[in-house]
Amino acid sequence: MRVWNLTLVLLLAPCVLCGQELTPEALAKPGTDSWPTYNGDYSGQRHSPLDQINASNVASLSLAWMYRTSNYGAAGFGSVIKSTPIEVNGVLYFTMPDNVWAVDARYGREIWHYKYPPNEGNHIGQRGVAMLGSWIYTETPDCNLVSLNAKDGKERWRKQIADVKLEYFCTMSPLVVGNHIIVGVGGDSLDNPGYLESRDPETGEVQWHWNTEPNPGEPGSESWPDAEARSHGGGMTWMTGTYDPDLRLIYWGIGNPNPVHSGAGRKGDNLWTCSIVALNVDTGKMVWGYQVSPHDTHDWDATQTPILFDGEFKGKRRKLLAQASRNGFFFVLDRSNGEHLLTAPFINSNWTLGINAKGQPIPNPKKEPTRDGTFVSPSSNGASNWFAPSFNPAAGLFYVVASQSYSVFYLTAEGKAEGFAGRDDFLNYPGTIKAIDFQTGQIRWTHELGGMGSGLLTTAGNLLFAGDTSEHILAIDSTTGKTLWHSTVAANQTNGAITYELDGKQYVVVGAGDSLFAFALGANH
Amino acid sequence: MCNRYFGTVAVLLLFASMSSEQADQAANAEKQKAANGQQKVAPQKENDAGDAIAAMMGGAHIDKEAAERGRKLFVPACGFCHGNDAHGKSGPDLVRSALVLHDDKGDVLGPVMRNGRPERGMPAFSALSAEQIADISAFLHSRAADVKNRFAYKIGDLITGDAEKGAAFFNGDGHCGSCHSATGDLAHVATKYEPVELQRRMLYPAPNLIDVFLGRAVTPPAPTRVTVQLASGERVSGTLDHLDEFAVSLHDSAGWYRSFSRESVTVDVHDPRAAHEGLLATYTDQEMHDVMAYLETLK
Repeated sequence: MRVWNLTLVLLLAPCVLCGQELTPEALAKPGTDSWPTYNGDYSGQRHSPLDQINASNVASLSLAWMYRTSNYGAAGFGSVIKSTPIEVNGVLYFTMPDNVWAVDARYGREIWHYKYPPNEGNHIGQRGVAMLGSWIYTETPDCNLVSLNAKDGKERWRKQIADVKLEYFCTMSPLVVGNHIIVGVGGDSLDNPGYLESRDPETGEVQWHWNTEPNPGEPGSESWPDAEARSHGGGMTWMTGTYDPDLRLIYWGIGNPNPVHSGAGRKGDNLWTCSIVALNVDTGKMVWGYQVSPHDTHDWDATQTPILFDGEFKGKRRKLLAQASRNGFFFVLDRSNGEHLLTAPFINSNWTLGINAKGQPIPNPKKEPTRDGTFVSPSSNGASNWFAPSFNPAAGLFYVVASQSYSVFYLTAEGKAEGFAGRDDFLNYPGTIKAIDFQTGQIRWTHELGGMGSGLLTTAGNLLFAGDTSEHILAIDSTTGKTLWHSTVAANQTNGAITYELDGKQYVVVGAGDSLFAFALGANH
Repeated sequence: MCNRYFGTVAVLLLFASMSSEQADQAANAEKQKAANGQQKVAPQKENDAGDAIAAMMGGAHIDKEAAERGRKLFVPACGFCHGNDAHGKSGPDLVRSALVLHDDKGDVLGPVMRNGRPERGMPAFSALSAEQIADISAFLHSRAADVKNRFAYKIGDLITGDAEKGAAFFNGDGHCGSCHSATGDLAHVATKYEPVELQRRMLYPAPNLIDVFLGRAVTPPAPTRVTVQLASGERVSGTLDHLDEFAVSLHDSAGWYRSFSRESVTVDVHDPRAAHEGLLATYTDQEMHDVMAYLETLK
């Protein structure tokens, strides 16, 4: 009998093996047994149709397993799990700077651990890997794209994405679309230009390269005073974008301009910094762009996930895109053409003179940093930051980790302004979850977290998973904002939660400090 | 005894300010380190704060003595074209120069300096020794480091307000006088804090978070008083340790630690910073500058 079974398995072996690989088709329509990309799917919604764990039974959610990382070596405060794990065929893949782990998604056992050599890149964070076929892709602090064998963690190749000597550093989870590995860059301390690249999955070579700052004569180039300012204009691309397979457009949030806190040498809107841009995934050509913070001087990267969903807006069915931006405003656009539909504040900021005809906040020049300080809300850390937002299509609610922060912005540069050219002195750092009605921008509910530091997940179980800053993981009723369940994990959550179902059991996995915690319903369910 | 409420808030605040991209919850790392019993990074000298943070953020070590020797060579030889601060004049900016950033002790800059770039009007400096070129390289790297490391940026010149108007706000609309007195708790306050620290504490009285992170001695915030009323009607008062959605903990007047589930008690917090929080929502820049100018008179 056993022999017969083995024969059967061998006969089926080619299919079984190819089933272990992650295909472009599976990335486009991920099953509920997987979480194969940074945001779970291309929409960026971080919303799962799973409902085994739901509002009626979440009170009995309990710890299924815990995995504590070790031997990670990386210096500084980047040594926490900021990465969102991906989960493919029962294996979780996640990172810290210079480290990638593969861990059993059912039992929390380590399968392999890859260590990248010590390097001089900024180790402040690492947000996760991408996968295609049987290969893992990750960006290193010193800006190499590294390809690993998903089976054993052995390195296949590494290719430079950006020059670490110029102060670029890399933290992003790549976006895989078809045969494109889309990689972004970070680092705004020395006035480098930002860019996005598509890399070949087999060789790592460049397929296309898109510069944040337009070339002379291109749309947006007129928003810079001169070539010097434009070529040192910043605009990093450090958060994973989203993708619409029908339009073949990727959507990316672009970072702040440089020099960061001094606008004097870069008069104009400084496109496409602090913008949401749509690029053709095959060519890297820009199709449209929308700037959410013209001429930013407060470090408000617009890198927050541009979430995609379809819905009726003022009586018309549309392909929509929404972002709760670091500058304190929530935007809804038509993602097919970039048409502006809605701008609404989600905190009480004090830096604008109003909203212009295009729906853009008009920066108040008197709130630019000065030598004696300007009193500004939000702080440079923003009304939100990289913490993953979530969208629940059934409720029509967009959830964001929001901070009503205040700060004093100082200009410090003597002579020519370069780099940050100033800094802000933080006053407070509160954190809440806000549920925003995408039709109106109204805040449906607010849930206090203490501070802010981790991302969100919603599920069809009418649940929102989040972490507060008192070391609790929370399950919240996504309609009302009421807490239904919590657990103490002895560290604050540091990433965004994911969920998947294996062998009929739904898991919710969060990273907190240097450990992963997996929760599932107990034996009674 | 460490005030846990303050510690959590402060650490979060600190990391909020750490970086533009990742200003986030590195707080957790700090807590993790504490949990692991590791020591905080505590630099020896005040002006090492920027260096300590720079080290954690990545970036090369600068030999300060070599950089100073290099500056003395650079200013007379190179400053006329490149600017004494190397930000560029008729010659290129050397602070954010790829050539300089790729240099290691003169290996890239040496040939350029020795041979010059006659096609661009740069003369040859053939007399420079390898050591001198390495010193100039150290100076240029130090200039890039000065630009890169915002935590070492010097904030100054911030007394621009009208002290009389500030006094009027203090005693009038700001209602500062209901908790503070210029001759009491704030007597000589301008001698206790540097202006940037004073301005921050005036707006929101918490220690500098960089200082907290670096393990320096800081003036702790005023304790928060709390009263917890139990289901039985008993009231327990003390100083707040921690308050979250689920629990409240305190040290009572006898010095004992006590904690309660928030499901079964009523919590009344007397946060001395509440009035400051209220003002945050309404402050104008002019009011901030005026009150600051007033406080600066309290020498």
